[in-house]
Amino acid sequence: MGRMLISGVLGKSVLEQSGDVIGRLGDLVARLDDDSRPVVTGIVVRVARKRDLFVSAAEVADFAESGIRLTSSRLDVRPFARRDGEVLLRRDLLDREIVDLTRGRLARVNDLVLGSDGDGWRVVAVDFGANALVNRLGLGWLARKRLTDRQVPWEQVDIFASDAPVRLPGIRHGKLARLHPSDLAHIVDELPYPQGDEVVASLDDARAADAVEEMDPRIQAVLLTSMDQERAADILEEMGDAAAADVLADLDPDRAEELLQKMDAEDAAAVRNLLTYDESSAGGIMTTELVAMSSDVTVAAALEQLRLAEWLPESFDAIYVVNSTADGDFLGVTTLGALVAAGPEAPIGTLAKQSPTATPYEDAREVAQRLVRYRLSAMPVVEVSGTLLGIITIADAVELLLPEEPKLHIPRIFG
Amino acid sequence: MRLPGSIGPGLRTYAEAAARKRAAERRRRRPRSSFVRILALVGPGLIAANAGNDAGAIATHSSAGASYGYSLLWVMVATSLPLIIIQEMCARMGAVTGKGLADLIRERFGVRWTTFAMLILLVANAGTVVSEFAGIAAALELFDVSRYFSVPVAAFAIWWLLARGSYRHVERVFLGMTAVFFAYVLAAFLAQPNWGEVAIAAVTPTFRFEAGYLSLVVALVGTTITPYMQLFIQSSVVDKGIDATHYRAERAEVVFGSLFANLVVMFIQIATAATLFIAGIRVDAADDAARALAPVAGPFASVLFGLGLFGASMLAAGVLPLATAFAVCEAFGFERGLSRDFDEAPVFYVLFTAMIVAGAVVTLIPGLSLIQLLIAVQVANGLLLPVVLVFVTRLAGDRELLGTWANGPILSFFAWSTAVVVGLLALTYVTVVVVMPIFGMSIV
Repeated sequence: MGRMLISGVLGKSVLEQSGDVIGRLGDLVARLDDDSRPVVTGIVVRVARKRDLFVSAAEVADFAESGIRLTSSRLDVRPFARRDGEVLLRRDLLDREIVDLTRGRLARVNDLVLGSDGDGWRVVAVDFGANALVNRLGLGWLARKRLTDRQVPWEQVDIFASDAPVRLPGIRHGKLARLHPSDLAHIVDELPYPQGDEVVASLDDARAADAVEEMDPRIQAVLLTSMDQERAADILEEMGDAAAADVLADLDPDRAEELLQKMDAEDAAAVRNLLTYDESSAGGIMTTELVAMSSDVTVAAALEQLRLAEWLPESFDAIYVVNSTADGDFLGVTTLGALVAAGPEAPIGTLAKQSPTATPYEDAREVAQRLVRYRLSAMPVVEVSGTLLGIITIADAVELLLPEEPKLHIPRIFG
Repeated sequence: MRLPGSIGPGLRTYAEAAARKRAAERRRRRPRSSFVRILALVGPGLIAANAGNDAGAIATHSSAGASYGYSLLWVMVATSLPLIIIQEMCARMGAVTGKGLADLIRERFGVRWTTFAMLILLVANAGTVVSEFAGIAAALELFDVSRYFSVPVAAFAIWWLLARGSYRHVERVFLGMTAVFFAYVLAAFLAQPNWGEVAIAAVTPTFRFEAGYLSLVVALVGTTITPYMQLFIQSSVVDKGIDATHYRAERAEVVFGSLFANLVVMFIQIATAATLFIAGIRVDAADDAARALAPVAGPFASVLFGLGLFGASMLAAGVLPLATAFAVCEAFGFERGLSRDFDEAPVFYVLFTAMIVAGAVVTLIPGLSLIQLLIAVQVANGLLLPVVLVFVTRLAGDRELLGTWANGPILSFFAWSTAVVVGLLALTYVTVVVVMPIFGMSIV
C-alpha cells in the first residue's frame, strides 16, 4: 500500500501525459461520507492566479515528488467549484485544529497521510507531530531526533463541518459524543464558537446537558444565548437544577426569564427557587434533587415507591426524612442500606439519624469545608424554621474548594 | 424529587421566594448620585480605550509636541480612519470566526507564511516589551530609583505574577493608574494654547523630508496602529464571548474607543506643544516630558507623570509577553496557557520568560537614552506594520472565511489604501534615514 504526505505533493507541478506543465497542485478534493476514511475524488490545479481547474482522480496517473502526472492530454477540465459533501484537504483540514480522540483534546493538523490500496487514495491518518511542522518548513535536518512524530489514524480524529464553507452531512460527531462529558466540555471551551456550536448541536439533550454542566461559565452563557432558545431550554431541563441555576444567574435577567418560561414548569420552579439564593451562600450551591419521605411511611412502602420511581438523583444513597406532622420539619437521614436491612413494617422515622445541617444563608465555602471535614456525602440545607430546602453534595463542595485553574485571558481592557 | 407520593423538596412556595428576591434586589439597587452612576457606566470604557496608550505612545507624543509644536497633530487626524478600519476588521474576524489572528493566519496561509508573520510579531512585540521596561525605568527614575534596581525587580515581579496566574489581580491597579493621563486634557486647556492655530494645524498635512520629522511620523503611525493591538482586539472580542449576532454593539465600541484614544493623545501633543515647545525645551528625559503636566499639578507634575507612566508600562509589560507567547504557540499548535506546567508547555514558558528577560536586559544597556529607545521601538513598529496589515486585509476580505461579513469593495479599497500608504511611508523612511546616508546623501 502506497503512502504519501499531502505536504509532499501540494504545490508540485501537474503534468499532462506529454510532459507539459499545466499548473500546480493547489488542493485535493475528498468525499466525506460517513465515518470511513475520506476518498480523494479529484485535484484542484492552479493554472493561473485565481484560476483553478478540477481534474478527477481517475485522470491522475501518479502522485510523485517530481510532479503529478495525468493520464491523458485531452483533459476533461472544468473550473473548480465547491460542492456539498466534499472537503478540500488543504483548505479545510490542513493546519486546522481538530479533535485528537486518543488524547481527548484539540490538536493542530501538521500534515495529512494519504494511503492508496490500488483503487484510489484515501486519507488514512493525521500527523499532529512537531516533526511534520519542522519538515514543512524545510528544517527537517534540524531536530529530527528530538521532536515527536504523532500520526493518528483517521478513525481516531474528529473534524468540524463548520471549517468548510459547504454542507458536510457526513460529519456527525458520533465518536466525539462518546468522550467523557468533562473532556467534551473542555474541548468545547477551547473551540471557536462556530465549531463549539456545531458540537453541541450534534449531541442529544442529555449528553449536551452533561457537557454544558462542566463548561466554563462564560462559554455556557455564550452557547445558551446563541443557540435556538427552545433547544437551550431543553438542555437546561436535563441539567441538574443547581447547575441550571448557576448558568441562568450569569445571564442577562430578561434572557434568563425567557428561558425559564420555555422550560418545563416543574423544572423551572425548582430553578427559580434556587435562583433566590446568593451565589456565594450555601443556598447558592445546593441542589433540590433529593429523595425526601415522610416519617410515617413504612419501610416496605418506601422501597416500593423507590422501585416505581421514574427518576432518582445521581449517585443516590440517602433518604431525607421529614416529620409527618403538619410542619413537615427535617428529622434526619437514613441510607438505602439501612432501609434494606430494616423490618418491612417499621416506620421510616425510626431509622432516621441526626445529621449536621447548614442554613441556606451561611457562606458556601465554610459549609463546603465542614462537609469535607465531617466526611459526609451530602449535607442537608435546612431553613431556620426547620424546613428542608435541599442538599449540598460532596461533589459540589469539592468543586468549590479546589483551586481555580489559572487561565489566560487577554485582558478586556484592550478593545 | 419526583417520587410519587413522597414529599417533594419544593417545600417553600414560590411566592415566598419571589418576595425575598425582590427585597434582595431592592437592597442591591440602593440609589446613587447620578454623577457616580454615569462615571461607573462610562469610566471603565474610557479607561479601557486609553489603555493602548502605553509608554511608547506617551514618549512619542510628548516628543512630537515638544519638538514640532502642533505641526504633527494632523497625523493623528489622518490615522483615525485607518485605525478604526483596521481595529474593526480584526474585531469582526474575532466575532465571526471565534478565532485569534494567529490562528487564522496559520489556517489560511500555511506554515511558511505563519512562521514569517510570527517572526514579525515576535520582533515587534519584543521591541514593545523593551519599551515598556524603558517606561518603568524612566518612571521610577523620576522618584530617584536607579534603573539597575527598578528594572530587574519589576521584571521578576511581573514574571512571578504571570507564572502564578495572579497577574490579573493587580492588573486593575495599573489600569487605574493610567487614568492619570486624562490630566493632559486639563493641562492642555490650562496652558491656554491658541485654539485657532491648533485647529488649523490638525487639518493641515505638512511633510518634511528630514530624518527627525520622518522618524516621528513613522513612530506616531506605529504607536497608533500597533501590530500588537490587532492581535489584542481580536482576542479580546473572542474572549468577551461576542459572536456574530452580538457584533453590531461591539462595533460601535471599537469605533468610539479608537476615536477616543486618538483624541487623548492629541491632547498630550497639544499640552506639550503649549508648554515645552514654546519654551524651547526638547524631550530628552522623562522629567522634561513631565513638565507638560505642570499647569495641572505644578511641582507635583513629575509625580503625576511618573505614576501614569509606571502604571501604563507595568500593564503592557505583563500582558504583551503572555499574549505573544500564546499567539505563537496557538499558530504552531504547541501546548499553551498557564493551566499547563513547564513540562507540558515548554515553548510557551520559554517564550514569555525570554521576552521579559530580553526586555529588561536591553533596557539596562549602559548609556541608552530611554526616551530615544522608546521612540525607536515605535519606529520599528511602524516599519513592521505594513506586513501585518497585508495579512489582516487579506483575511478580512476572504468570502470563504467570513461569508457576508467579508470586506465589501469600499472597505477593501480603504484597507488596501492604508496598507499601501503605510508601506510607502516605511519605504520613504528607510530610504531617507538608512539608504541615503550610506551613499552620503541627505535632504535636509
